[in-house]
Amino acid sequence: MQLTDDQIRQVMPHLQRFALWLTRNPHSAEDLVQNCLTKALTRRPDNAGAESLRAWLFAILYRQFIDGERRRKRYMKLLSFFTGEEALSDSSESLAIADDTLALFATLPTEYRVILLLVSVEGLSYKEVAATLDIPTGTVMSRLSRARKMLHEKLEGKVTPLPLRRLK
Amino acid sequence: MTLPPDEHDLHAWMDGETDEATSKRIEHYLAQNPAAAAQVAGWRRDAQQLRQAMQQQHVQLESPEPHYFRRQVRQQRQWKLATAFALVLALSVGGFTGWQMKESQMLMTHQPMEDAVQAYKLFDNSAVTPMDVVATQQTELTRWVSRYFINGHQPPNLEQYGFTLVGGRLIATAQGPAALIMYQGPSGTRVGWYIRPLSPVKLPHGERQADDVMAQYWSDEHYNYALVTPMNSAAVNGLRKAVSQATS
Repeated sequence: MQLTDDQIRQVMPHLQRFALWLTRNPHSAEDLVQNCLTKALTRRPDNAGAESLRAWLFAILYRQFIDGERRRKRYMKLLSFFTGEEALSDSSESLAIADDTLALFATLPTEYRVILLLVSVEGLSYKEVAATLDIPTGTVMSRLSRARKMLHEKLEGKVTPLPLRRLK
Repeated sequence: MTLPPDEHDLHAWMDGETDEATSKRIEHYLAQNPAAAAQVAGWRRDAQQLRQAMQQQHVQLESPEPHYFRRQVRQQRQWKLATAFALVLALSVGGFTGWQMKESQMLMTHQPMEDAVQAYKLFDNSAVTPMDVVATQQTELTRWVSRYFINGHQPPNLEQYGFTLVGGRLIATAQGPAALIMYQGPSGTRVGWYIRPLSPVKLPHGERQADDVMAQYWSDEHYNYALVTPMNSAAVNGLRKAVSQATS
């Protein structure tokens, strides 16, 4: 069974929010959502529940975001190889944020933003998050723990540098 | 789970991911540890603050109607199909042209039925090079030919054009045996009928002039044939015309 029009309309705001905070760029977010839904329509959802449907679409969207980032990085590398200059590596953040909380949230590393969005904002279960991001549940928990700590510190006003991450 | 619960347990409890027994234990622990309770409360506040901020933040993104995506998918499919079709078309056009090119290249590099012309020139003079089979009887020659050329045409009877059988000569080519059958006309004019395996390519029927002889050639499923006639003789005109009519 394919996605119905109602399902698309229902899930659209969630996808848009996820894409927006993933990319921090409205245009990229629009593209990402459209690509995600176009892709989703060529497949069939594994199960019909509204919650897991959302998780399934998040997974597609996230996969495309990661692929896009990888392509962009390769392109940047190539560009800097040929021009001999260090290309601007971070994606342009063209999102105008009036709210302080969101402005701080936007400065978190992508993987922390993602996990906070999925758990705290979208309310997905750890299992769904693990499936969406294609990582073990244990990683979800430790990442979530670090993300919450970092967000808390930022919101408290004491900005600390990124903790050293274990090399995987 | 060990007591005291670690940070992961606190997060799991806060997100409702713990079972009942664990939840009770954590709640008990938090009741006795105000610092930990404050920590959890802080996370909870952060999450609430984040949710609220997101609800208030209005970024107007373009939201196409569902049918837009369906059209997009259809178009993508059509594009894919068209691309695949174009690929197949290009391949088959390329392959076909290549095959045609190969044939025409072959024809260009090999003069068609050049071996027939050379054989005729070699055996035109019976005094120098005698025949393998000297035959005035059509049947004898027929038996000899069919021994080497299975499914091949038999040498024709050209008596109505004034040519009688002289004999046959077996010749080796790179593709197998070939044979030249010689006929002689009233004024000593000789014509040659030539048969050879069908290779390198099946020849279309045609004719060509080489020095002072004319080769008319055609093919069937198994062999190439040629009739080689001298240019400077009027006696062969009737025969030539008959051959070109019969083979075209």
